[in-house]
Amino acid sequence: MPQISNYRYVPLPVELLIHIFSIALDAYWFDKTHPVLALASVCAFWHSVAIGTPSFWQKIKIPPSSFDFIKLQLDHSHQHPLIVDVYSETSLDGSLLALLVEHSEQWEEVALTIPEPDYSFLTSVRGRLPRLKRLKIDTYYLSEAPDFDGFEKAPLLREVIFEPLRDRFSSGFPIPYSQLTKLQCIGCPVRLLYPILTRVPTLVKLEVIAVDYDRFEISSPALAFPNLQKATVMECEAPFFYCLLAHTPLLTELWIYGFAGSGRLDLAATLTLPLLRSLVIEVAGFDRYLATVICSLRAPNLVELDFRGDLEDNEEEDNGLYLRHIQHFVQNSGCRLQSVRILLKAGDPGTSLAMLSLLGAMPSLDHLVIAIDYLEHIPFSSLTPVSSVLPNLSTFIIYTAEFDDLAVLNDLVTFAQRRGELKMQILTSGELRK
Amino acid sequence: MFTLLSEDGISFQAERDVLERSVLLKNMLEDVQDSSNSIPLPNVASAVLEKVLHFCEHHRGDPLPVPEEDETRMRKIVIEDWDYDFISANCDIVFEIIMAANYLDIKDLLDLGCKYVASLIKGKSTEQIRELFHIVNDLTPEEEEKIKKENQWAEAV
Repeated sequence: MPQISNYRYVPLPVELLIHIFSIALDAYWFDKTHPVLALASVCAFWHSVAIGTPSFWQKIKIPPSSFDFIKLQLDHSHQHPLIVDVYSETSLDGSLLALLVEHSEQWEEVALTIPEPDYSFLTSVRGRLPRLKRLKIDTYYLSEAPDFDGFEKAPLLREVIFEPLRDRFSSGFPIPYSQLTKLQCIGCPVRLLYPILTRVPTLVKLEVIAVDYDRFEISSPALAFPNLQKATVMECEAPFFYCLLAHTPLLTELWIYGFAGSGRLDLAATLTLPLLRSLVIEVAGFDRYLATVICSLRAPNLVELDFRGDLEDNEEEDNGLYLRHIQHFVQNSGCRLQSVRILLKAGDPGTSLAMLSLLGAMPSLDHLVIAIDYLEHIPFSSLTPVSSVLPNLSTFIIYTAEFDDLAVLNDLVTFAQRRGELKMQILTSGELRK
Repeated sequence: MFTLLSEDGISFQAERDVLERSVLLKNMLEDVQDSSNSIPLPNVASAVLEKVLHFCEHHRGDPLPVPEEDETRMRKIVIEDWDYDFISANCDIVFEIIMAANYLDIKDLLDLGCKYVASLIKGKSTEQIRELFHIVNDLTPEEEEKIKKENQWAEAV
């Protein structure tokens, strides 16, 4: 870190100071002073810039801000779009909510976690949400369906997050579903989610987390996602996963994080995702459904694969199992993978053999990243000559938490030397980074 | 080779592709066929111009920043290793470098300088910022008291 006395401050033009403040304010501040006020307190010039720039006042967070401070923010924000985040388990001061609603025409992003009585204040926003683009509703603390009105007309609303969606809201919230392009639903039975999914034909990105299939009979023809390009399916039940992805002809990016549920999973047919280019598979602990799902998938145009196996030490053998299933998936898909990233927190000789076999099944690979706790678990010597195993490999990056085996280093050097154009990096740290 | 003349009369030579990192110089060079005349830069001191040319020399051939680049990404404080070493080694004149980059319209250098200063400011108290940049507090006691009160409102709950 340079010496403090080295800095020779030169007053900057207003537009440059605004740019610098914008970058600084975008990051998290640990100091107890409100960041904009900290900047405004430095000198008269900085004060005029900080106070006079409406965008610096756009983030309204309750708590901790009081009525007076919200009033101050609204005054300084002028007509700039607002990002409002309200989180309260108990009823808020009515005047505070009334003040916020009074400025609903400025709302651009709104996140609400409030009790039932406070929803009545929102009704008065009707017809005054011309800028609203993103709405997050957390119903965790609600015991009854709230009187939630006034959001039907929000012409720019594109992204909605329900966290979670519960039984008592089976009728759904009155929002313009048909214009949504991004939807995230966390923790709900599929019978509640299904009516919503039938009303979002323009969806481009969908994230569903912890969706309970609950033996709900889905009428497949009613589901259609003709524009869906990105999907995240986390800890959902496998039948829902199949039902959902069977109607996504344009899907290009998929992130799977484990599966939930119990009982046997019978799969009569494979699931082909014809345009899928990027797949992330993440698993924490043993997941018997995941292996089945991986084997049943087909992605003939896949070019990027990312596998993150966060398994405990006593489940080492499962890494090898997953890698073998991924190999079957790659071979059965007939895809030409260009970029692969594999993160394993544990390994054993079985994993090494499975890794070697997997790499041998990906001759088109250009970019390979392997992150593993113990480097000696990867049989680099068996990979040589690399020209025949991975003829197109140009970049090979290894992250490892521990690296104390010189034989492994020699092995890697040999590996790199046999490929004159191979760019290799070995990065060590105390903890693996995802 | 073209010759640049700093405000304190020192000449610097650089090739066209190095100078074209600057939108201002690129536009000027489009009309200049004869490289024998030096280009005066009355707003840039030699100590700063030397560093600016060093930066441009290192980044010659790099793709120029796209103007419509995502604003959110631009605001993230991510600095490449060489750039960080460069700007921190010249921290004593970082504000002059920012001014020069702004005048010469060198977007990646301007962005680097602003991100570096923002990273220094981020999370610091008012007193620490004043000490860091030797900024004199010229706020009136009334203004300071007002800010103090407003800050209490910010943490009232």
